[in-house]
Amino acid sequence: METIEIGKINVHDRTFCVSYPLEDDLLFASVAQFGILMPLGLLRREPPVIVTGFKRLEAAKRLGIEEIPCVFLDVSERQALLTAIMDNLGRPLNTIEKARGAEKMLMGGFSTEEVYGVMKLLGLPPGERALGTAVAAACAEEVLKAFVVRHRLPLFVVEQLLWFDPDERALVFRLVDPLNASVASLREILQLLMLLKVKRGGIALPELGGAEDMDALRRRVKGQTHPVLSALEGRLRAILAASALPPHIKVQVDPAFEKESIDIVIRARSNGEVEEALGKVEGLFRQGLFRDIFELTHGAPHRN
Amino acid sequence: MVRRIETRGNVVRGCPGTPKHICCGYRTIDLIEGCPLSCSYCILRGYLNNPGIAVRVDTGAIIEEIDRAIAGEKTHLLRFGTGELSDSLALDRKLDVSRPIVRFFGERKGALLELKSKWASIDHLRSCLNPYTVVSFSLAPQRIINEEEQRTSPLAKRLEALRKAQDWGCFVGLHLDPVIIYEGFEADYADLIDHIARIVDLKRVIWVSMGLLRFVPRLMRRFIDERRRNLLWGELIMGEDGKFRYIKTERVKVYRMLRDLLKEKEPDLFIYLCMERAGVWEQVGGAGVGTTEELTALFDGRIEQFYGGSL
Repeated sequence: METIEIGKINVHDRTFCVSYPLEDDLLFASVAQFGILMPLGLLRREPPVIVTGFKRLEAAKRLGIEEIPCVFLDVSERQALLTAIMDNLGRPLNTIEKARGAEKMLMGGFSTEEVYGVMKLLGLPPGERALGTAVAAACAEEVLKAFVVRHRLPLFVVEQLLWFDPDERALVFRLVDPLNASVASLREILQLLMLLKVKRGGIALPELGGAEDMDALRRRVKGQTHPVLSALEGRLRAILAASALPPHIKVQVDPAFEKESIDIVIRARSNGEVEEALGKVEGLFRQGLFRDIFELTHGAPHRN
Repeated sequence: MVRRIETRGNVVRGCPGTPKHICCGYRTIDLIEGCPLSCSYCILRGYLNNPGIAVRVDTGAIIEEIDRAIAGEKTHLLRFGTGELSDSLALDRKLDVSRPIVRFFGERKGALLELKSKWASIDHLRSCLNPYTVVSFSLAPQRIINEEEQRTSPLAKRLEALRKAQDWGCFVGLHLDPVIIYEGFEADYADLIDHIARIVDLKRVIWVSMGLLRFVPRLMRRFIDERRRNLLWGELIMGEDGKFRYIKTERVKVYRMLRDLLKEKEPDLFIYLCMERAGVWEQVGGAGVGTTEELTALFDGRIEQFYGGSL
């Protein structure tokens, strides 16, 4: 192992940089306390080019460290890129880092099959579509990459985001960023927004902004893509709220209002509780609760 | 590319139908798999993995299989079709595969063959067409043909072919399937039905099917990627069979509208719904169909009405 002055390294060459983002608070704290323990891998060139250790270098620069430990690599650029990717496999990579690995291999002249092989190792689905998405993600605007990392999004959600124009993506980020978005909820909302865009030719913030959580945002978007279904859901919510069902009795309706039948579920621990629940159900029956719900599930006034 | 293949296993099957929905009890003959017409919404885009077209050349074996199916059926009058995994006529002039089967049905006289198509080419079959072959066309407003069925025959040609088939002594079928809900579709479908009634003798239409757009989930992303506004305009939900279809209240509305438009032209038309729920049948009115068996029985009655004792 040798040491080298940072000023003598070509710090601008990111040919082998897979890491994203370079700022890492934990690593920064570690370097601040213990210095750089693992040497950087440098390709022997004049000036030397970094192969591994971009994040360590970034931390050292921020801390004002001038000299760092390194190991010189006498390898081809292809081997250097593979080294850079494999060196990172020991830690959980985010989707942008995986995408960068695949993109750099493709741009570095590796065959598609070789790239697919590494994609498998990276946990990306090997294939043309995924590779196309990875390349687009690696080259996307900074704000998208940051959003993907912040919300820990997998490649299939990145693919959805890339479907939108950059302006529309920025709108999505503004809508979603303040909310606690799970991957599943974001995926569903993006699917609805795609549908909305195809139907209307665009999406507009004034109609969608200001939702207090992802569920409210979903309802707001769905109100536009599925107005009839949303109206049925609203009426069902109102009927159930007015009926003041006790928590141990549930009335379940097909979410798409396709099935005409409804499920009435009673949770009971004794004969007495069953008797009480049946009495309640009978009361609700007499008030017309089920008739009202059947009107929704049948899609018209129900005769019997 | 068209591949000629030998038959392995059965090619005559019951229509696969779709769970929880009423099927018309049709029998399919998988004479050709794959279709050159490439309609944007085609279910084959979601089902068939091989992009080529395969044609079964051993028609003798296929006819034997059809014959066995007819002989084995004791309850219903069987209806067969070659338009399930392909278009019945799109390649027929070139490949000439329907002729022996059409002839067989004419000689056998125990069942009906339906040639279902969007490709108005029937002249090559004129010499063998017979009353036991029902010539059917899927019909849609010209706007949909222009935008979603680009390689198919124009509406006028399809209607002309239907009329020609009637003039040659065949009964014909009309298929309003898939009906697509898009901006302004109501007026276009009203025009379509006017157009049909001007050209086709509705008294000699043996059946009319109505089916609204439905598709397997994997096509949703494709429609979005292709910006298929027509196909995505209506309100789509996931049906109980796992396919996307319009929300039930909208389906009922559209079926009623089409039924009324058709019945206005010819009150005696036999109209059935393709792959619909019993609840929808009930609301669209008419026959009170609750099961596939009941619909099949209605078909028996209709065929009896048209053919009397000759079947």
